[in-house]
Amino acid sequence: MEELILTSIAIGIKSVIFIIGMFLLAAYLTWIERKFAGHVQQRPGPLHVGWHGLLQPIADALKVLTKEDIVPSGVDKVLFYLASLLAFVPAIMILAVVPFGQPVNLFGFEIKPYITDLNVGLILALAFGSISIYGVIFAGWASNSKYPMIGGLRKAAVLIGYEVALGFAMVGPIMQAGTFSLKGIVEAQQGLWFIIPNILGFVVILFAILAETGRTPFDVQEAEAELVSGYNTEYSAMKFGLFPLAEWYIATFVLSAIAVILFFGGWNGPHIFGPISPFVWFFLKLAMMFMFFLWVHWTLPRYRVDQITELAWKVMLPLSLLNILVVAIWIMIFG
Amino acid sequence: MDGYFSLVIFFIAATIVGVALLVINRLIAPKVPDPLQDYPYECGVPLYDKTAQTTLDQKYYLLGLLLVLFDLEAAFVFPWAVVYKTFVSINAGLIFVEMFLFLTILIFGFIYAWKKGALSWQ
Amino acid sequence: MLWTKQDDIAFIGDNFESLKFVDNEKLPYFEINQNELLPFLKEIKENPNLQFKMFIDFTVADYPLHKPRFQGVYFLYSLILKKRICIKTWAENERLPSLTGLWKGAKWAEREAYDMFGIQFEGHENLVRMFMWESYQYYPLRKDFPIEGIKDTYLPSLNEKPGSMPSHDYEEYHTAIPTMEDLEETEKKRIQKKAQIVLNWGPLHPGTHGTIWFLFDLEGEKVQNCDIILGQLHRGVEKIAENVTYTQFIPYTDRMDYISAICSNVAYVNAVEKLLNVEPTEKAKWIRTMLCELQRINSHLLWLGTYALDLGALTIFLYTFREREKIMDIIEGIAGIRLNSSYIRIGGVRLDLPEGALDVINHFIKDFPTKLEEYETILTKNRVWLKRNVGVGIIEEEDVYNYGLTGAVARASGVAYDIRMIQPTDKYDEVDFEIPLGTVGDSYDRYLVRMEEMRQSLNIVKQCVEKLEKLKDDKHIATDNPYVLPTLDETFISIESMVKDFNLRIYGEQAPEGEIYLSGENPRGELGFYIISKGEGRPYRTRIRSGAFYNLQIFPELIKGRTIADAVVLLGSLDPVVGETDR
Repeated sequence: MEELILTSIAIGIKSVIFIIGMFLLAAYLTWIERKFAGHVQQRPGPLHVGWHGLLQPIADALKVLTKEDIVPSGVDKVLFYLASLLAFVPAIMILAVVPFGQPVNLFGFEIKPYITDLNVGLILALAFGSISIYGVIFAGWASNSKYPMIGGLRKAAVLIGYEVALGFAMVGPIMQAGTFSLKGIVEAQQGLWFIIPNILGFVVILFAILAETGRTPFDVQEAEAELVSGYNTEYSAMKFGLFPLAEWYIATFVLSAIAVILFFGGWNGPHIFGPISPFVWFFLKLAMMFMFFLWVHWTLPRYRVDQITELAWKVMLPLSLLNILVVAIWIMIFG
Repeated sequence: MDGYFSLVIFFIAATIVGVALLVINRLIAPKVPDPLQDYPYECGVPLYDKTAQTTLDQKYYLLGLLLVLFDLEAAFVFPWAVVYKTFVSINAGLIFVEMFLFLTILIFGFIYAWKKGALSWQ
Repeated sequence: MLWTKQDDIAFIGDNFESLKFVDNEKLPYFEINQNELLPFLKEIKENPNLQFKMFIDFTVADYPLHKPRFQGVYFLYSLILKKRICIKTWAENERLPSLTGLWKGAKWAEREAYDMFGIQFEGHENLVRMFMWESYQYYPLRKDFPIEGIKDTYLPSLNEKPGSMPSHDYEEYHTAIPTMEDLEETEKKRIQKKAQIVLNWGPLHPGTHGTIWFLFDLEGEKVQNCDIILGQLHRGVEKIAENVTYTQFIPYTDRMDYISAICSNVAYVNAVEKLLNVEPTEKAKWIRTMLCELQRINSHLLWLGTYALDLGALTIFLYTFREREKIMDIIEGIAGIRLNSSYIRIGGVRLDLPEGALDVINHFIKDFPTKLEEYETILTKNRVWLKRNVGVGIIEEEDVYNYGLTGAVARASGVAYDIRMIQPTDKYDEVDFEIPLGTVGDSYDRYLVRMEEMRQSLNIVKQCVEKLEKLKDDKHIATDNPYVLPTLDETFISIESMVKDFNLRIYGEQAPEGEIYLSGENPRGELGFYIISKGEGRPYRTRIRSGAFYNLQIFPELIKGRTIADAVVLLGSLDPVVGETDR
């Protein structure tokens, strides 16, 4: 019993460290995104709060935290609050199954740079990613206003489009690794990265991540020129702040991590940075992936929602099925 | 079992952090009541319909049904994918043909749905 | 001459007893009785030798001492004769027949006449207010409506300042402002809910580019019915025009289409000059042409940026504003003001070109084509862009005539209607340029046409700069003319100029009695000014034919059956500016 409590406390501390770390990281991901967008658009981005705007995320967080909490009349109050939690908690839950490196021995303790390594890790990540979308749909319904309503329903349409393709696209790496454990998948990529036979699956997953995190060209749920701000029109203060935090930063970040694990060998790489080289490689790949999403976001126009589902079903689903065939033959030939 | 236990702890921690943020916001934020503050946002004009929680006919009902069907199929493919590599060295033909028979039937269904126009919004 | 005369329609003249031709030098017009109006219009529209198919404008003038009091004025354009026709008719009992059966474009113009003058139109499908709200009682453009408005609403709160006592000139009554109930009544009258929900895009919506109020009757995301409520930016510019001198009105034209202010200036000043028989100097004409085209590029850049922004391409907005800034700087250097420059004066322009202005423009001409290519690289062949634009909002050629569409919208549908070609003002007859035409008439064609127009405008600017370099020492304003304000230097040096300046500023330009309709090719379509002068220092009536007003009119028709996401595409590609639609 005592042992159980001790373990719980240990895991609890580790969890809080992970969550706080993710928070700080997400805050600075906003800074990175704004700097990135700024330089894409030939302007400096945040510049005045701190050196090169480095304190801007802190200022933003404080501002969001001290804004008046407005609840419009006619909303479904429970769902209204639940929606922002439902967007945020599952998004950060994906983090629990993402391994950032192999266990390292430090001062005689074995430190695992992940919360848990489950043999269904990938399926859990997939499930949490989908649940996170319900936050958006609930927000749309609970607001009792027309723009959120349409925005939420649009997000549901996007979900319907990409869920299947995403599921089938993940089959390829699983076949090669023979396990659902993300750690196992990384370890199976000591030699060749899975991107080589799985290129089609990778393309599908790129599109699916863009759709799931609501970035252009799939940001129909908050198309600001059509729906003002979409599903979060009626939200203010912190319960508003959780949505972009969850969708644009945490979800994009962890899903990028999963894409890196599935296709780019996770933390595998030459040991040129000494003991921390797995982390360096992982975060380097992760940053490239994240930057890619930013690049797409700040360049392309957006699709119409019916075009998105059509693209998903008519192009992405056949591509992901084709990917399974390609990988099956690849394994038969090369083992 | 240990892995799931960590997951539960992590879930609790994440929920606590999320709720704490909302509560802190509620506690420290100022309150400046305004008569039109709780009016639903309608771009500065009076509401035409008093409520938005009505039937709104989105045309992807068939797609939703297809999603349920195809996701179930995906669930069948996953276990096959896990054991594929080990089985391929034992009996490559069987495991390959077996699943691709299944997928072919699936694809026939897919083509049927496509031809019937279920994949576009009605 | 662009106006139809008796000879042109002589062969149908006998059928209409009351048809009368008045051969004014500036604006020859036909007068016809009210009961014969519709058959006459039908005849000239459908007669294969006339084909007055294109609806240009309809307006009303108020003559309180005449019986009947109101006169309707119609402007049409013939595709065969390449001429306009002006038809007038008196409104007996303040009633006129509705033209909506012949031209759908008359719908809003008639509603505006009802709103402003209180004239009833027989056969109009939904005769409601155009700009004012439904429970407003007065008709503002009537001559007996005072310019300061009728103060009939008890609104003491408007005078209250926090922390201070009410001042001694405390006015409890003010002109009416719409309340929430008034607005609700207005929106319920405009559209009857038939489908599932009515979605408002009110004046605070980010996608409407200003303060338009859209109502969409939605079934799912499909728009079943749509209507537009205008008037949030209605300032009564036409009423103001009746109360200020011709020169004083120039700044108001800036504030109509604030994105292409100089084009509006030029269109207005050209009309006034023709009315006053003033001939501007050569150099002024070249400067006007050059600035108009620069302004056109400027306006199209803003359109491109916001259009792409509406479709989700965030970055191109800043790329276009980068170039737009350069043009703004050029305009600021020449006119002294960036946006609403009021640079054009009767008889010329306000200031001579500053030193080095032409060098800067030359540099811009060299630089701009590469930037234009950059925009095209991002958008023209982009798959997402094509998916959103191709086949959306196809406007048929017939609809162009029917609705009186002008500008790039008409040209994208293959109608070569360009005022710069039909009735060249300034130096447009001496520069060499082409009119880009679309083939399908969808949003993508409108995009391509505007992109090509920027190239053509640049070409015109280039020619103007070459010409202006030879005209360095010419005068920029024809101050010899009695109607033209002297320059500041002249006012300080000679007493005659000072007296002239005083007279013109206080009493206004005493224009000869007469009428004029003259239009300019604005970036948003034909901007026409119909001015009636009674020989006073102020115009008797000024009607502004706004291109954006007519172009926007087709929007509810195009959006029917399409999704709400297409509304931004359509609105962006029609490109209205609310300052001009509302006036």
